[in-house]
Amino acid sequence: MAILRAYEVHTRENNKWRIEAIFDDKDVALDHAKSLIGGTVDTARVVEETLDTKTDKYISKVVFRDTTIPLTQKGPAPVPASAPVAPRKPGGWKTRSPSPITKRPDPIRRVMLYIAGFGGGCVGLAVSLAYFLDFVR
Amino acid sequence: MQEMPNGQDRRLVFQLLHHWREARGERLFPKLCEVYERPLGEILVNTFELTISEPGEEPLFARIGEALQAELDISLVAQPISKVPRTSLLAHAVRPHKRVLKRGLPICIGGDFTNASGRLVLFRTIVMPVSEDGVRIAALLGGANERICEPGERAAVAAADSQPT
Repeated sequence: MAILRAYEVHTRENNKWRIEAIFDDKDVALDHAKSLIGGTVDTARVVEETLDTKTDKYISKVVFRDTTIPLTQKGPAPVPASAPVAPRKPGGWKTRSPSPITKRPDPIRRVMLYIAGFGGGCVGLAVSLAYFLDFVR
Repeated sequence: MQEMPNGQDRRLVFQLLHHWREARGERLFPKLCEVYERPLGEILVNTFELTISEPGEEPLFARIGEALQAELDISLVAQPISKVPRTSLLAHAVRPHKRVLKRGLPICIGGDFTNASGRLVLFRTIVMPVSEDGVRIAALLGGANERICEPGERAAVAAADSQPT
């Protein structure tokens, strides 16, 4: 069983990640990653890629990460206005026209509507009953 | 693998990679001429250039720096990499070229070999892709340097190599 190991140096610049280079030596990769942080590169990391030639399986593990972004900043970094938006895949999504926004009546109005509806129903029932009884007589 | 003293190997590799990266900017690859326009200085003698004529064909040497040429009896410019003697630094310097072509990324490796004089040599090399159109890799630019082991170091290197990975 042979284990092949390589170290990828990744950087993030203008919100885009890219792989800078690949090294066979961890220390050399770490030195390079540390030298890149600063300027337009706000984050650098070293990913250890291990390949087990027997199982043909890759395992990735981040062994180093450093950033100039302060820890107090929550959430992802804001996307600059000039960043291109990825085009939507044509035909990949079913689209439907958005449903009209209906305003729900406030509770008092809702109760009055119920009463009116109920009342109207009772009146209609009474009238029908009266005609029926008259018919029967 | 035995580390070279004072990070000398790393300096050359890092310097070359720095110049490649500065020339690249936000593109995938820089143009070769743009890298040469950078102040490479004394590291130029340790660099080499491979041209990729057709995909799948063996790369040919377009340029070999003086420090790498010094070990060779004949000029290997316009010759394929298979012609390089296995006991020379240049033969080991080009080792990552297939992976570089496949990944489209600079690859840096180190190792050791026995030179023509029977001495154990430690080396570190970097091979980087360059392009003319920004899409297809047209050539490879590389740099390498070496250090000959002292007789007492040979056993230490052998012991390190025998450690399981």
